[in-house]
Amino acid sequence: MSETDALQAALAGEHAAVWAYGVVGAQLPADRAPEALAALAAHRARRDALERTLERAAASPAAAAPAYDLPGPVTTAAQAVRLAVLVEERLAAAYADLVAAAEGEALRVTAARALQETAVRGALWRRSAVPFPGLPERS
Amino acid sequence: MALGGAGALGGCTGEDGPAPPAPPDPDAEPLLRARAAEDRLLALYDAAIAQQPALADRLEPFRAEHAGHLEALSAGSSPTPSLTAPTATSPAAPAAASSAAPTPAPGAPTAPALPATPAAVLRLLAQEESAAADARVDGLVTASAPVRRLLASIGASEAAHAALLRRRDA
Repeated sequence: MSETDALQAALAGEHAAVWAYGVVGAQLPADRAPEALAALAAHRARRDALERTLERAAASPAAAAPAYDLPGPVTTAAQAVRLAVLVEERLAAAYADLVAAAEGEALRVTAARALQETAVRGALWRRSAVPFPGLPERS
Repeated sequence: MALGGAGALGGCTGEDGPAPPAPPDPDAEPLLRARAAEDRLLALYDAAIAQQPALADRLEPFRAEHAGHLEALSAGSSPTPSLTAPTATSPAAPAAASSAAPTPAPGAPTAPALPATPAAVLRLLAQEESAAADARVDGLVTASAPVRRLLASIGASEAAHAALLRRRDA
């Protein structure tokens, strides 16, 4: 996978995350809503940074879809948490691929930090860890 | 990987010279460091579980993931003994900051000093996990793409451990 393709894949994941956290936040009880808001802000920041990185590379950043297919109904808090976990896991995989594809040190480090953040959020939503975040072949 | 450095241009003219040394394996050092970190964390978890059995249920899953990391880091590489005794090189040694370390067992070189209370033990483990997560990022400079991906994932796992260890109710 080229660096640009990996950047676009991560950006697509961030677009989906920004959309999904809107759905997540609507179903969470008040005590967990701040977590969703914080995650939403973090994903927006990562999205914007990826767009800037692609623009600097003279690539055209992928646009967000108007809406995304949900894996199932999200009408309860438990379903909302599962959606948040899914979003973070998919993003973790995109960032792990970006760590591998990135040609420069700075982008490798940025992608690794983003991978850490998705793993932390995934673990906090799940309340448990996974041994190899972002590596679906090892899950 | 770029092989054509200045070194490759040196005296390669004669046929009787020794074969040029193989290029250094860019993965060797980051893998070695990562394995040493996993050894250290495993020893810490072992000591923590031994000292605080009430924490065992909470800590065992993390310990098991570190064992999995070590296995993945060792797969396909030469069975290097974890050289540098992990305790000797650790610059962090945050245990030193804790006040009342239990009396260390004499002649137990790998047993890290642990603080006395469960809360302080959890804090120490979280700090060590965070330090390991940071250190895995450093390895990304030189390593090959597949190893970078593995190291980054392991670092992410350790960052997640740290976050969970800092939760009061997890």
